[in-house]
Amino acid sequence: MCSVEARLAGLVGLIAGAIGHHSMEALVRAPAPVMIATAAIFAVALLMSRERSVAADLQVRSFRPAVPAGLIAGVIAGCTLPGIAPASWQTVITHATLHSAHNDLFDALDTLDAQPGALLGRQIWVTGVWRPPDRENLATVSQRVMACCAADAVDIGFDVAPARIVALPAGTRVRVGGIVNEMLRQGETRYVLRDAVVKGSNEGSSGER
Amino acid sequence: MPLRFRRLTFTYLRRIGLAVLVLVGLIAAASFPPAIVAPRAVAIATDLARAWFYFCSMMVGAAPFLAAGALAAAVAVRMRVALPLFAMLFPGCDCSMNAYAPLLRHARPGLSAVAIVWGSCCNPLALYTTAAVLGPRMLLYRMIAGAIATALTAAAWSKILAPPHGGTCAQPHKLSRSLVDLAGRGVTSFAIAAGVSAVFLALRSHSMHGLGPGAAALVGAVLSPCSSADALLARALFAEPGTQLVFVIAAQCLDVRQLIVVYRSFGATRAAGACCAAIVACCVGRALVQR
Repeated sequence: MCSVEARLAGLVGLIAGAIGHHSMEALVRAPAPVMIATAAIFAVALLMSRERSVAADLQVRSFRPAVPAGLIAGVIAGCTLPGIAPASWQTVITHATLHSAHNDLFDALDTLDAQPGALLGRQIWVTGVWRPPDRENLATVSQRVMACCAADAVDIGFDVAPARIVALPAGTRVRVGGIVNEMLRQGETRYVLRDAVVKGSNEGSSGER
Repeated sequence: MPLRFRRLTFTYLRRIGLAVLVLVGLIAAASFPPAIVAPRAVAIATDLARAWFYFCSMMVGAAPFLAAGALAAAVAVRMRVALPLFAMLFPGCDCSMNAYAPLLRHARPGLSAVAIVWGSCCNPLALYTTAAVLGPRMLLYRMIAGAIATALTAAAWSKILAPPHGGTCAQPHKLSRSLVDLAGRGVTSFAIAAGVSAVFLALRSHSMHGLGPGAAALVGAVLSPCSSADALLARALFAEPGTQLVFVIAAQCLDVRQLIVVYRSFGATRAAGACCAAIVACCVGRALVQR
């Protein structure tokens, strides 16, 4: 096994590789300056900790090449990461989970949780990221909430049953208007926007055909 | 004197073994033609890529907390501040415990248990997030269940003899040396747990909405989310408050990451003690919520 220095160098390399490959935003919530400062602290500690006693120096002499090797391995690992986060590991949550964030989508879900009758059967417009339907799930419009890293990220939004076929690719930022309905799926009450109109918010086009 | 290495001889037994290996490979290739293997290989590669992404995200996400924990622990040792108290109040996140734990084994067993369990489960950031996401009632239940887990673990550790261990960085080293040692050890503990969580996340395919408290505890233990994220995940994944509390407590006291940290620093017996205490806390917490 490698030394503690090599492991730490690997972590520094991973952070550097991820920053260089523009993957940091997809990986973690912490802003880039915090990650740069973290890597810098580790790097400075690694450089300054090289001066050791003679006995310790003899003990770790054989591990010296492991530090640059760990750094390089970390950088390579960081460069393999995608710039865009993959779809969340769980289905889109159609319930309010955060009370601190305010926008059209979260406000609608907050209202539905507090007073479902206020929105059910009415048409609303929400903004989010589009995900097309697959074999098991309806299409969705959602926003990602990340507490710390991509592993704990949750997509929160609505299922969407469009009025027409939508040809927009996954990950497109959209504005969706539809009538709010609720449906039961696998014992879970989910909110659906029926007869929905989907507009790509970048170009203003509907993407429908 | 030059070292003499023994060269491997290519004996008859080894030749037979090699021939058998080649034969098995040919039979496997004939049984699973590319048309069958290719789609599965693509699916496996996708799962591996997802697991790799989650693993890296957890490692990178924990790095600032590891740095903060290692730095705080190194400073606390140099300034001779009460480390357990420091660990309880200034972990930032339970990820920091990976850096604190090696030093805490030099404290009294009861105190180190209090620092590790309370610092992971009920640190200031975790309590703030729970209040914001799950509400003040769940915050109270989290604190009660956390206190039960802490008290039981402290009581158990006081009875269990400390395992023998090698030298650690309790001696006053240079600050940079202590930081490298503590953070480097923390990286190892964290990487093992992150690997387990990443594989679980990549392979999980079913909705968790209908899961009961036992399954929720298992998910929390394997997933081992940060203490700043467990409340959000509990709210998103589970509808029932009792199940949410079980998930949250298991995610901090019964989780792979915590148990690996305890095992590496305090031994298997104390890890088992912490595990039993966490199970009792989960049961009592759920009973309180449903009362």
